[in-house]
Amino acid sequence: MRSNDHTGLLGEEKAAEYLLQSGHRILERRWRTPTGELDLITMDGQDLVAVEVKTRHGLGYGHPFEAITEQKLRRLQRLLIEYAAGSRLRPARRRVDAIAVTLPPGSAARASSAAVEHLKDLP
Amino acid sequence: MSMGRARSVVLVGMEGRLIEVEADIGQTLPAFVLLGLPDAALRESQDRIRSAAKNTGLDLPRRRLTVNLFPASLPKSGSGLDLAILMSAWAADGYVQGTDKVIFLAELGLDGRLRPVKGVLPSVAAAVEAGARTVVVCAENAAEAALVPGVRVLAADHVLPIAHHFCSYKAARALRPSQETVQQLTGGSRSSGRPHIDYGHDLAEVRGQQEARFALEVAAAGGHHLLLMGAPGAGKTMLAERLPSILPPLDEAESMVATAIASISSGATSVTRLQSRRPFEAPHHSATAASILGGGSRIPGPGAATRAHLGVLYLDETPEFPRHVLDSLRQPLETGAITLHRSAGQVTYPARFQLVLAANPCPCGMNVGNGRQCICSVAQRRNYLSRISGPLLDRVDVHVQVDRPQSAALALADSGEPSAAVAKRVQHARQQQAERLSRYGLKLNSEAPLNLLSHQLRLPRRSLHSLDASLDRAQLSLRGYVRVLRLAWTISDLSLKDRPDQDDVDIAMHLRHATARR
Repeated sequence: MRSNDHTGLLGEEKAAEYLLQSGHRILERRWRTPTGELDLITMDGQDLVAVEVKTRHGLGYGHPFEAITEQKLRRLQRLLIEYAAGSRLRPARRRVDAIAVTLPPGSAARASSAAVEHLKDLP
Repeated sequence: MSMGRARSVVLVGMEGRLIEVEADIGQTLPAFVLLGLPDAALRESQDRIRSAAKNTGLDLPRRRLTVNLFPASLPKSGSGLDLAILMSAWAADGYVQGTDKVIFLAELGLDGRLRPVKGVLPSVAAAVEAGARTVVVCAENAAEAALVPGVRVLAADHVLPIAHHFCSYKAARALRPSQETVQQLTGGSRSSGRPHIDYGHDLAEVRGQQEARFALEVAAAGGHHLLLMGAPGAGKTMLAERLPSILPPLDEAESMVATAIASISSGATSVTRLQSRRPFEAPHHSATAASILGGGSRIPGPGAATRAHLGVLYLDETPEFPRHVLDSLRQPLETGAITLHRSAGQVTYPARFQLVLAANPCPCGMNVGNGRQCICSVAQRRNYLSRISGPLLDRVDVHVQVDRPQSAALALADSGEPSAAVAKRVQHARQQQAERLSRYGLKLNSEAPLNLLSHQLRLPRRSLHSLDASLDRAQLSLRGYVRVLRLAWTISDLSLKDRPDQDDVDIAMHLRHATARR
């Protein structure tokens, strides 16, 4: 589990870096409530965005995006509404994004060659 | 471009329908959506396609892939669309190009191998009719696809060479190199130069049996249905099996149809050239109505009657068939086609066959000659043949008794006339019929209606003397009268006479009555 935690953290780091570069303002990392967690919460212009980050070493266990289920999407939507209600932000709209970080296979591999894919506005 | 197109064909019965396959890649979570009424086998194609793509080196995008099969309202079945779906998906991703107007017909293995599908010949024929010029099939189906004139056939064992063939600049690097290349054939180039016909069975092997041989020849010449009646071991099956060897070979259009039927029913790799030999189907008497007429859920498949189209349907031990199975043959005998209705739709299969029935005279089979060896009761004997319904027997023109050969006849008889010699006479007789009947849109004497026989083709009174007498004495029904007339015409055609004379009519009456008199 420890190594998976590490993978996840590394992936979130990569994702945050990528989002900053593409103009997002990062509001929260690992925002937790008793009912769940949002990996990243950002502002993309006027949009409030919840970003789910999925990280894998290689594609042996399938593509990271394939791990995002319908049920998970619903939970992300609900958590984002909770967050918006508790904050003083007045976003134009809310949306859920997903980021897949694919690291080279093997834990020893350097994270420098990670591939980042970004899907916007999931239904 | 995130849209890709390819084409394929699905078969509804014998009829091929062009299917347009569209693939669209959406920027959301990975999913594979197949639209357009796919059946279970087709729905499973998505997993085959993903694996095949991965193992080729051109992975499908990890996004939502929507595949639409047009026309959406037609229920689609089978695995022949696999390759078309994969090519359209690759085209959507920009890996391949120029697939829009190309027909793809193959199933995919998980490793990307192409596998043969059923019914390639009718599918390609339908595609060409609809304007397609290029067809991609599995290598095993290449010869079959190339039977259709005017089509360019591309074939390979694996999807890799196909991908190379259509590959765009973008994919050139990602694609694994391929040792094989695509095999190219031009349709119609092989069908010229008919292959030698090997019949297997020859009429020369039949010794004696003069009467039965003659009846067989008449049946072949006029396309008459035939009933062979005789004791077990008399040679009924032997005679029936040799009927195709004296029938004229199929012409170009007919052999296309016969080969298409063989392609649909036997499937896969067996079809490599057009078949010129007439089919011979001999279902066992335990056969069900569905196996003879065709059946199955959703879109029903063809049965023995359709496989015997343009050839011979032989029912050995006819009284042992369930009665409803025999009676279900009456409709195709009249119309030459079978229409099957199911909830998924209706299909019509051709079924213009020559029916040959064989029967023992009674359950023990020994009621021949003086009948002394027969151990059946009178009631048993009567019941036995009445299992073949009157309306069916009525459609059978020639009834002939097949006697067990006597030792003297066997010793005296030389080996009989070979099939080739008989076939020549049959061919001449058929030509003469066709010349006479073509004005009325017919080809064979067995198709001539009463109206024609009693007006345009009326015989002089003196030839019909004995026939009229037996009609008056009620030995013959009016329907029987017509059948005797048709037979008489065929017999006169065999001896190349202009029209039947008294003798021909007498022989015809004999052939019609041979079994009834005993």
